[in-house]
Amino acid sequence: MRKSLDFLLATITAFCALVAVALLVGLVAVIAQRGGPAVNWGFLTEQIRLVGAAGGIFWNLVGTLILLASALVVCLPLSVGLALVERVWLQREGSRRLLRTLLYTLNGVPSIVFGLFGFVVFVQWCGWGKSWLSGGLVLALMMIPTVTVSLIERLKAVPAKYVEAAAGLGLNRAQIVWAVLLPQAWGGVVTGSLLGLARAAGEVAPIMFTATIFAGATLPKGIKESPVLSLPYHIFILAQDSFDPSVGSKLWGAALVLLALVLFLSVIALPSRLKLHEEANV
Amino acid sequence: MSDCCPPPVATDVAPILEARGLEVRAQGRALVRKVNFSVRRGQVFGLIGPSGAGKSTLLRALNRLADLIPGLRVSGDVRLHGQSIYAPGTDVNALREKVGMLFQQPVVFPTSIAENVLFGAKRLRRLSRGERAELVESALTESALWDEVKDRLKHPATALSVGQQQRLCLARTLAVKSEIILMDEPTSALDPKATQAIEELILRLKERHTIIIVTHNVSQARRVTDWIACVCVRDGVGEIVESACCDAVLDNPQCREVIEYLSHA
Amino acid sequence: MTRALSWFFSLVALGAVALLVGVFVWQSLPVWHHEGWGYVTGTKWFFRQKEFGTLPMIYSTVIVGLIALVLAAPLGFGAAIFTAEYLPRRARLAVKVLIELLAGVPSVVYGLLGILLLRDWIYNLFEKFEPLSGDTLLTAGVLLAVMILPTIVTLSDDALRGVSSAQRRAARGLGLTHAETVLSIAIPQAKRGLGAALLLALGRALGETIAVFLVVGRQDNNMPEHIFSLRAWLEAGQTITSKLGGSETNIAYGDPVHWGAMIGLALLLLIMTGTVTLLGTGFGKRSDA
Repeated sequence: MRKSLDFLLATITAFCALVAVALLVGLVAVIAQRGGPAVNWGFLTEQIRLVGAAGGIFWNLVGTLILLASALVVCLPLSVGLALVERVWLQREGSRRLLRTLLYTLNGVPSIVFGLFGFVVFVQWCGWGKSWLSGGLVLALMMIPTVTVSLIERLKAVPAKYVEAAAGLGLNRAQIVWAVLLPQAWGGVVTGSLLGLARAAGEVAPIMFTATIFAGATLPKGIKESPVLSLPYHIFILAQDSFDPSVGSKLWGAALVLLALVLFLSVIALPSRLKLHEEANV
Repeated sequence: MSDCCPPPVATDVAPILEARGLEVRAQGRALVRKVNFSVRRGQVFGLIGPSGAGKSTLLRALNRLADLIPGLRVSGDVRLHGQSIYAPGTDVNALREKVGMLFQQPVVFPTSIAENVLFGAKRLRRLSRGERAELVESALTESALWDEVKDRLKHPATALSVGQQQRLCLARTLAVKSEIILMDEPTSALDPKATQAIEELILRLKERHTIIIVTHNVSQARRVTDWIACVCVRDGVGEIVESACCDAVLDNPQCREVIEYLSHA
Repeated sequence: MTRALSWFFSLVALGAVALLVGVFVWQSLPVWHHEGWGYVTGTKWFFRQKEFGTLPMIYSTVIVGLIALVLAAPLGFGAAIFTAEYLPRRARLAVKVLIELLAGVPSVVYGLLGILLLRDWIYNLFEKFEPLSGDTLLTAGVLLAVMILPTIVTLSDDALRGVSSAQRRAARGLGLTHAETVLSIAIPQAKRGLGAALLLALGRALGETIAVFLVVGRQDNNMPEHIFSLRAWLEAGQTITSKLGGSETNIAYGDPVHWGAMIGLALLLLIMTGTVTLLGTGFGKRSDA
């Protein structure tokens, strides 16, 4: 009886794990299968024609890259600042916990909320209209929790002995930050950025009201009224109602490219994440 | 150079537990090897030796808890009542009921005292409410804890002192009706008073149980054990270098390593 | 200097968050004046007639989230138990990494797959209920279930691994079988973490816009009589997120009440997801040994 429970639990849970993995791997397989045929060099370097039925996604890729780059540039100082405040400048554990709770809550805010915020503040109040900068700023806001938390974890993992040694030599806290903490914890910034970018690359809701249009834009000229094309939004528009069969495989091709981009960003973050995991467990 | 002492002479009573040619390896490197000993029923069998010699590893091979440590490989044999515990098809869980273990750091589960005592026992057979209460009382009495906790059986076990927790762990093992109790340095986390309590318990328990105790406290070994096997490091691997009755080993050691160990202890 | 800079940037970031909340509260005020409590209890939304009742949307949002949770939780828990309790370290890491990578699949891609695969499947599966199309609340729920599955698996696995191995070994040492140890030690002690996993996954489900937008049908004013019936769920619906992601957001800006209604929706969503996330984070943290 006890033996059969043993067997039953092992089997049922193994089955669940199999189904979970199969589901997720299957998704990727479907996309690869449908989108594969459409992706070639031309696809990546040409622009859209015929409302997506022909041509490629070049400007969409460019637009997404512009958004990601501007998001990163804005996010970095804010995140590093927050992480340093949490780890180095705040002394009471209560305040630290408050800050961390704020970060985790911010992480759970739906992306459409960020999009609407950006719409009100940047598009309307700042008068920029749809602009790549609005999109970048909104995405930066979304990325902050990811990068900050990653850096905080990495800062926590810096062995205390290095900090003690530096302090013993007479360095003040700011000097210790630059001499010991940041150099050793920089991996956390890189990892967090990659993960944040991976998430931001695939988001539509934050940019659909603030930064992106479906067709007609190439490189932005200035800040005001300078929208960009973007890859996920392209897919979103084409996926709706009018499902023109001739668009078919190009739509899947775009999805495949987006998926590849996101997975690529996540995968290069892996080695350093795994290393931190190892160090934490040993 | 062969072992200093010949293995214990076989007596008229069959040993309850025997190790034959036991060896434990980790990542290709041997931790202990050529382990041979016999334990008689009702004995308090001590394993002493310097830290790192492999005593705790050896102990865990005796109830196959070593199986749960990744990377450990056990070869050779251990026989309980003449039957190999490493034979394929052995019911390992039943083995662990018969050969229980007390750890260095008492591990109490986050439930009440009574629930802790019954934790293993209630899975073996259906117990009525009356039988449970009886079992809790007898196990706690046998481990000299009953008087201290009888009024708060439903209170959390984590509120007990460390010494009490260790006796609770003992009660838990007794409730499962283990014949052999393995003890891995059971008092090293306890203060002298609690240590004394456990040692007195061991002497009382040996009437109905067999105990194999790892200790690096030589005076403790003198106080509680009947027979001692010394595990020392030879060529980087732990081996049993001397095995004799308690007084013989402690007063008149034969092996160089043992003499050296005892002079520092 | 470093200190000043750090504080400066932190306050900028925190200020942005405060601004976000402030803007939302302030801009949604007009609709509260206009509708009062009818805003959240009303069941009709006709913006041209200035009628703004959000109950159907609240219902749809919650129901879709719950369906997703109910479907994903057993599967996710089972998978997590397997990875945490049965897999050796290397294999466990490999599976975790795989599942986490797949968690990064963008929602628009999920939406696309939902259109392709789920729509027809649901439509055919429930033929005898005569759904109007494959775009239903149930479809969105099922799609979300797949989307939150990785979250549940990862967080539950972490929670289970957090239970001390000393306890497990003591239990095995008493002769308990592996399954008994899992059921009587690991799971009960990981309860808090498992609950947190569910809450955080629910938060994700409630806030998901794009995937839901594509398969939920976007039908306003569909408040069913029997809220817990399959029939109700086989209707097209409108969640808060699908409404916000639609074209109405663009045209609403000029009119304070209409815009207030839209922002009010966002505020409601923020409150819902914020509460769930806070609870989930609180749960998880307090399980420190």
